[in-house]
Amino acid sequence: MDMKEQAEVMTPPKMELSLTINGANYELQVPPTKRLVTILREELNFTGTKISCEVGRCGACAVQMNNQLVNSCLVMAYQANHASIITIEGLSGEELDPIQRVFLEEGGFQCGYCTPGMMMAVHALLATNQAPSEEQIQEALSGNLCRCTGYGGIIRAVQKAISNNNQK
Amino acid sequence: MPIQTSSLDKKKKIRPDGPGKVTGELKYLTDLSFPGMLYGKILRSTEPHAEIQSISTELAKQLPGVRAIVTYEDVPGLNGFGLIFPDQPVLCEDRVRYVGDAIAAVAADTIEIADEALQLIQVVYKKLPVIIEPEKALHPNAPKLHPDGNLLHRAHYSKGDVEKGFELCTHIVEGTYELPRQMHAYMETEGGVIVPEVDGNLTVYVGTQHGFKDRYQLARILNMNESDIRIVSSPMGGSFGGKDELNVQPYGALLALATNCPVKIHNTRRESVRAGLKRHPMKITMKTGVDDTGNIISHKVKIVADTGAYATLGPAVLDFAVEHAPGPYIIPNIEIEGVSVFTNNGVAGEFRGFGGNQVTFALEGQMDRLAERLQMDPIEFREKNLRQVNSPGPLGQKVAPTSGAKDVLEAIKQKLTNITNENDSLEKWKVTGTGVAISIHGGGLGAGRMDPAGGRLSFTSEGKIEVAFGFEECGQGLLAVIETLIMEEFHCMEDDIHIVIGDTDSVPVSGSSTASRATSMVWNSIQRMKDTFRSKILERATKVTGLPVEDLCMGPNGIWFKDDNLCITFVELAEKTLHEPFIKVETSFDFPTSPDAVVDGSHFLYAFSSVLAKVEVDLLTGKIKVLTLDQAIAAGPVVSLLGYQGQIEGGGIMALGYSLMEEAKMENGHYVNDNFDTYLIPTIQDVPFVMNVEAIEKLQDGDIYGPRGVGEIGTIAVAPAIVKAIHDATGCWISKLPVSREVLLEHLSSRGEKRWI
Amino acid sequence: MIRQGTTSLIDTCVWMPTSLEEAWDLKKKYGENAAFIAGGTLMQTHWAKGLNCPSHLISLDHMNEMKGWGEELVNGQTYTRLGAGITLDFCRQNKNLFHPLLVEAAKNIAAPAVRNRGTIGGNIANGFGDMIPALLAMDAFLTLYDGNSTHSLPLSDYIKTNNQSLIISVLVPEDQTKRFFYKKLCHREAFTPSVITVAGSFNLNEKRKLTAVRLALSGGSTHPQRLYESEQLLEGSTLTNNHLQKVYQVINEEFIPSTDPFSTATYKRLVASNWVVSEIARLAT
Ligand SMILES: Cc1cc2nc3c(=O)[nH]c(=O)nc-3n(C[C@H](O)[C@H](O)[C@H](O)COP(=O)(O)OP(=O)(O)OC[C@H]3O[C@@H](n4cnc5c(N)ncnc54)[C@H](O)[C@@H]3O)c2cc1C
Ligand code: FES
Ligand code: FES
Repeated sequence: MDMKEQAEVMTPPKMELSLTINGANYELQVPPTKRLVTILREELNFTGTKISCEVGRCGACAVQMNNQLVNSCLVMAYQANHASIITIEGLSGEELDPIQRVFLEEGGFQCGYCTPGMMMAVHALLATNQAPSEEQIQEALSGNLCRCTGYGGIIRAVQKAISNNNQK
Repeated sequence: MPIQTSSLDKKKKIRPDGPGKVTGELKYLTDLSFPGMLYGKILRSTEPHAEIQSISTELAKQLPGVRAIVTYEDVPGLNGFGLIFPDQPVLCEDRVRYVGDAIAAVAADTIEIADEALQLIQVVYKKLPVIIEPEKALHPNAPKLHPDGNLLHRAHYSKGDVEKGFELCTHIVEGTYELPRQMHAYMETEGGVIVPEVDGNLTVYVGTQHGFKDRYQLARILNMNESDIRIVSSPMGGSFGGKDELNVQPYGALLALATNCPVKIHNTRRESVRAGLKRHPMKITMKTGVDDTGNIISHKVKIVADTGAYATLGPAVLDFAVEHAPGPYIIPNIEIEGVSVFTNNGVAGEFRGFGGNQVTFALEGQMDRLAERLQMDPIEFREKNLRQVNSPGPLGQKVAPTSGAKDVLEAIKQKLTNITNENDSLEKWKVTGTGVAISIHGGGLGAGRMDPAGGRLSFTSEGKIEVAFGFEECGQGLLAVIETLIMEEFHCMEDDIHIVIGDTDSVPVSGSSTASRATSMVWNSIQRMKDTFRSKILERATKVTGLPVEDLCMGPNGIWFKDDNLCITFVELAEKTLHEPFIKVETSFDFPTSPDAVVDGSHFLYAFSSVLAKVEVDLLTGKIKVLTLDQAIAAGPVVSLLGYQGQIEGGGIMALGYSLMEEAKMENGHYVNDNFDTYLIPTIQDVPFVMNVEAIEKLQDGDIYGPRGVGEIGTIAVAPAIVKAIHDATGCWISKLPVSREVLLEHLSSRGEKRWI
Repeated sequence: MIRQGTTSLIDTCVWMPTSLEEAWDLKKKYGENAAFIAGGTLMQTHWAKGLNCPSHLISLDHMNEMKGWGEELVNGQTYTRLGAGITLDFCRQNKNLFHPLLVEAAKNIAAPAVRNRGTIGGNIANGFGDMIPALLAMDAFLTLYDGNSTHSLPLSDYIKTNNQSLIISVLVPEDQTKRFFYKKLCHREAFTPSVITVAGSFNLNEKRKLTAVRLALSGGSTHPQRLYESEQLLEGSTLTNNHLQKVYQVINEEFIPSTDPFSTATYKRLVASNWVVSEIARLAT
């Protein structure tokens, strides 16, 4: 069932969800209130997207939806219908994305559990702002908690990504 | 022999598990799924203290999609677990002692069905009085939470005569310091999959910090042979001590055995908070006296720890706190008394720092207050009383000689002079201040505890140098440590190495990945195995190539002739010697302990830290912002630069949270904040944009123990440094964490009316 | 599917009406069993805390009236119209479109990923949002639909009752002359519920007297309030230290915050008084 332009119930229990993930199309039957994070992790096995608080408070589940950073635990299926989603699995092609590379080089992670979400947030920042200030970096990443690094390595990684950008 | 520190590049190398982590390809154990997998959920008590009058699972069993429900009746072996003694029921029968107590577990086709089933299980409780304060728990009339009463453990140490000592003092400072219940807040909550194998064995894919210990505990619960259980325990999305004890494993195992299907359990954050361990809340009273020249004469300490409902590592944490109560100072008269007390609060157990954080906060607080009384510079006062290279340990025991205490203090003094201590805030309502604190921290489990270590080196039929340790990768960077050390020792490449950890079926006994011991034990194991291993490989190479063994050495990708010519690759060597016996070198030994320790758990190897904090205090709100958090660490040679720096910075920020915002509050036995919306850990906006870590790598001549671990040391001296900086800025002494803005603001308001314009 | 709460979300229907009337009729039809939903960021956290999710969700996503922004002339005064469906991040990112006080308020809410989903309408309608004090300080109006008609109501009146109307848009007077401040106190630097949020604005006339003073406060569990008495006390006054001290005391008495497990009302009052007075002193001198 498509999204109807009129008051029509998306019949319980299922709707027909159509979305693009990392460029590929997916059609599936899900309850309209099923969370995107569950769809990604459990239905489609995109386990790179993590889950930690389930209330929008940690950023471990962050993905990009229509080029915007969102917490996939706070997006319900009906809200993602016809959307284009990029997950961590879609960040790199054949080669690592430059952001992934600087995270490796500068120790931007330890346990790595916050890392997919964190890198999606860095990606969202650098996509719109090539040379963010300290304050802008901090604001852009403020919704992504990391318990391991104390953020030192993450900050150095982002700074290196910026200076790499500038050298190009 | 100290490791070479020449090649900084290698030390800053990319971690072996890095690519999998940054691409999202690495499967954590909670990411796994298996065909036919069911989902498990655990019913936990709604009451902090109650008798269970009945448990009825009938309704829940009828729910379509429910495959099994287990209660205490279904535990085949011992219905209890606990790292020291098994006093925590796996599934409660007649009594619950905290809100994390498990009563039943359900396996169902989906999580939603399992959840619904939990709601259909009827438990009738008869409420019992809830004990929330350790002091009250010790009252003779208090209800007993365990057969032996409410005192879990008492630890004591004394030397000299403190009361006589106080008579000689010109200044005495007495204070009570209160420390909160902190959450580990690892980003990956507990979980994984438990898989029944066709041969009747069980494979447990659940993170832990000591696979063999889990295996031992599970075998006891399930009444199975240890050898029939396999624990796969890595990787983990953080642990910090919190996953050392069993968590979901017993329930997953019982359900998997009951259904003969793989069962996945992954705690939600709320479930994790409710059931999981926390850092011990402690109340520490210290009375410390000095003579008129600033020598510490007498030090009397009383520690009361709230250990919650069950023991887990509570006794050891208390022992550690008692041991570290004199810190790195030489004090002639000491009396330390610690008690760890059962209550109906959340269970407290192992947590990075292990009791050292609490007691160091109190001790360093005393030092700063005494310096103020003496009108002495706090660093000079510390210098005056500091341990020397050959001084005994805090409890008088023989320890490995070290100048660490002096070195870290010296280093931080340098940093302090580089930072101006004037009020450089441009804003009218803000003031700044600086503070310094130091710490000493023992590594290993300590005297009188079984603390075996070991490892294995082998040369595989694929031509890889296989390194195996029974340790786990919790994020701390153990894999990078192993890889770096092997590369340094054998001059080989990443590709030449195959690392095996975290799987009880294929690793040797190495002990736990706790107590800052893993790096140290990896280094020591390699030292013990390297020569034998190298000569075996070279002998074999000689056999194959016919070249004289003294001209051969191990190097990148294979065996090199006279250092400049790769004469046979490891792969060729393996291919050509397939028929030869397998090369395998193993070692096992015990973590070094003090030969004359009189107190259980006291240490032989210590690391030291010093912290410089600069804070800005907002006079209108009492809000504190940490502007600088620099640390100097003396823990022997750096093995992996990124790992080392990351441990210290990460530990530092965890402690910043402990100082300023983190408190798992309980009201009448229930958690008040049970997720990241109200339990706050530092965000990137809460940390200094730049932090400096100075590694003091020096060891004493003849020190054979190599690098000490740095997993905990970065968390220890942060809180007292921050609190001293607040005092420097405002004149207000804080003795309770997290620092209350209200208390601070009250103090600031008592200075009278403000000049608004 | 939200795992907590007693209703499993599997059974929830989502309606996608395209007109206000349709949305309203659905709500009337299902009553207590239905709720409007915009970004859903707040509602989902409520469900996670155990509140029941209603069995009918009426999405406001296709409500054209709630989209976009623009200028509107009402009774000779120009207003910026913000559709209720505008996301907080859109407000945060568009300094050129919206008053800096609104941009500042949006910046202080949650973090980018939440702001990308959460709407202005949802922030106001939930009664505790951090946009509210900023909008109160700006004398904002709401355009509401109550099933019969579309009408406007000052936000300062809206917050006094439990108004169930649909918020269509917010109208903010275009006034660049006023001096203003916005401050939010959290238990850490960012990304937390408010302990207390204060916003204020005033004009300074040529005699350096304060006019059109607006003071608004709220906080995590504290209802938004205008401090009318304190505003009165400041109105027409010239600032002296003594006068400010008096204002300080009046705020301390007039502001009624709640006590929660993490902060006392006494503390919140102290901070509120400190902040308002220090900000006015800063901006007026
Ligand atoms: C992690 C996190 C952090 C947050 N931090 C903050 C914060 O710092 N400050 C803050 O203020 N808020 C915060 N919030 C709460 C929330 O995100 C915001 O208030 C947001 O603006 C709500 O908008 P929404 O569209 O998501 O509302 P929804 O969740 O969709 O709705 C909220 C309520 O408003 C009603 N509603 C929505 N739109 C309308 C309308 N047009 N007319 C009538 N009723 C309507 C709904 O029925 C519901 O009752 C946070 C939320 C999360 C998840
Ligand atoms: S899991 Fe989605 S923000 Fe934490
Ligand atoms: S790397 Fe472990 S939480 Fe960030």
